[in-house]
Amino acid sequence: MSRAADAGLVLGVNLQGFGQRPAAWRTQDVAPLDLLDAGFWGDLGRIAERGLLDMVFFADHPALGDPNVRAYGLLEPFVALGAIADVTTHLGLVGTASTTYNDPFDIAERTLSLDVFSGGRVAWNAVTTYDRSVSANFGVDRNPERPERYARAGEFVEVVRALWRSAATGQPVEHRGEYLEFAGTLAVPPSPQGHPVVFQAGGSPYGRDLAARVAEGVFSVELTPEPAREHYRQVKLAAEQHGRASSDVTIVPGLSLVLGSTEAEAQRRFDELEALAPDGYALRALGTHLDADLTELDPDAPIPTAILDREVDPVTYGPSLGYHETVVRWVRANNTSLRDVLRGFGGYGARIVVGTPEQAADTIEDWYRTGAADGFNLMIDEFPRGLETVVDELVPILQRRGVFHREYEDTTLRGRFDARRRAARASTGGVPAPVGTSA
Amino acid sequence: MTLDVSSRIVGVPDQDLAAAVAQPGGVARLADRIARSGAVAVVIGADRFDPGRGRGHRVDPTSAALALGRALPELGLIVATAPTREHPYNVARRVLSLDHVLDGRVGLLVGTRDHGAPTAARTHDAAEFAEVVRGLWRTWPLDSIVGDRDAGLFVHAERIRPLDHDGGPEGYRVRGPLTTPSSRQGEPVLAVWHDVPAADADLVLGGDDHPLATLAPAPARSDTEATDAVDVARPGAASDPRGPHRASRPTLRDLLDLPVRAAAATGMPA
Repeated sequence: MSRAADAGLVLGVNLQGFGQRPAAWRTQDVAPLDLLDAGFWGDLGRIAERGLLDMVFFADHPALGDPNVRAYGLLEPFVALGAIADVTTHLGLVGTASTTYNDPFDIAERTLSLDVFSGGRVAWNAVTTYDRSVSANFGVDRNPERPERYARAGEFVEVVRALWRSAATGQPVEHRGEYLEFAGTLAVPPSPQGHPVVFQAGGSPYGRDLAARVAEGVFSVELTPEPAREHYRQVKLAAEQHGRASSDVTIVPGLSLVLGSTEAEAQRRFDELEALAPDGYALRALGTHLDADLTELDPDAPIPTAILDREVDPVTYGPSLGYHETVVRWVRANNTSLRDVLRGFGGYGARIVVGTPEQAADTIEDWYRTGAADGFNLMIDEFPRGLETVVDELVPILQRRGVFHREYEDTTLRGRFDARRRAARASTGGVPAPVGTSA
Repeated sequence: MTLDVSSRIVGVPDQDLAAAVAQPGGVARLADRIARSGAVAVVIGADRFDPGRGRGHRVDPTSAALALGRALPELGLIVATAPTREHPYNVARRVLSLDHVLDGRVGLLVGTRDHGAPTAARTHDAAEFAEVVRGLWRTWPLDSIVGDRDAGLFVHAERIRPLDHDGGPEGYRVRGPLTTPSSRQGEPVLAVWHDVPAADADLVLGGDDHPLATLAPAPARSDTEATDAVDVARPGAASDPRGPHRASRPTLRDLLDLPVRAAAATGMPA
């Protein structure tokens, strides 16, 4: 059984610098300092809203990487979202902030405040932060290990939600946990959507458990539909085990897009962007997800199975477990040579479509209808150009196919999620069952 | 000290801000009151330093600055914070980011304690907090960004430096650099509340010597229409080589006659 056409597809756009491709600043007529400018981000927000996209998303990395490898994340996410909020009226505003390197009172106050100013459109993506370069900025010698990070994250999200509620009720929050001790009340005026929506982005078993307990949305990492459907069902069923409805959690994998009016044109654009990318960028990205140095390998031989077979300790392994699991599984199935693997790894860990808007719509519709995703966080090659293509060409196809809305159902983000949940329950009555199709 | 610069800076009471966001058009009406005050800059959130006033309804100063900054395109915006629950890396990044999106019109006011926030297990020194924030603002000079497309060189990365602040066992340890380059005015104006001993600050505000101007009460008729301050056209800046979006209004340093400081002033020729 597959999902009925209910126009409930959720589409967000991941605002990564001048685009997901590291060379996006070299292939368009953009000024580098636009990345610091309210007008640049505001324009992207307006384009997204013209296409009725549900939300824009900012990742967060509170440490500087090499801007010559990839220039992004120059502005703090909620400041950039505030600039976008100023010039939009319906667009959801999703900002990432770490539960390891922030204070819960501060996060609760800042996110609820922006939520109030924006008319109820903010979501907080709670992440636990795995990068060692970040801990040095916060005087921490060693990043806490994964179980500790997620235990703290669970408490942290609980405290933030309790604080948001306290803003409406005036009832003080008393929390005495293992990681956080806390007594206080938030005094921010109430938001039209009650309080911000909570997303979660970890793909490890710990992350999925946190998602099932507290998240209203999940940003996941998937390369192929079969594992995507598996993870989708795991999270939905786990949510039910926690006494929630499966439709209470909206699952949006990343989807990388390089679109052209023909497949050949899209491939040319992809090749041009890859050729201008910093040397070895894709190789390093793959190496990060496999936790191995691949630079000395023979490009014409398969990646040694020793690298793929290596046991990874979910407690101590630093980088994202979700990416690791997804990428290892995908490499095993496509390991003719390192060169071939890299060619297919153009999404740097996410599913990629290099093709026409019709072809992108095929993947999106298939994943949506077969229970692999409730929507997608689009990772677009170039801003603003690629976003305009999505809005002007991809969105109308999805609307004609009956999977994407033709107007905003509500002005608040939670109002739209609620409206879609009601529609989903009415049309399917639960989790879409797995089917045998693939995309 | 009637001629102190603080007399040209108006404090926005938390309760007025909280009331403004709770009603349609409230922010525009508040902006109109501020514009009529004749101030060149506003301080948002200073009530938190006052144990008597710091416990009422309030909003996060950064979000408020974004909303007021658009409605008041000629004014400076100074946001208040304290090391009670905030970390200097997060604050440095947020306030410098704010300075970029508000065209160099931003300042930070550091106080000893936020009386509206629950106490934390550890307390930190406000002067050290301010020092770390300012140090982080100077780690990445704006003019190191060149965007040479042909050479594939986005930035002269060798000009980005870590901070390596080590305040000892009771202090902060912060490596840096910041994720955000310096701004059009070099760095945000750094102000300290009068009880913070930071000799290096741009401004001291509050107390008997540096009182903020007070905002006149709202007009009795709550339905008074605000002037349409929100839609003030941005001056054309298409000829600015840095891109079509950059504005060329006075920065907060211009408005307060403060010198340009920091990395941007000491950088190598581009």
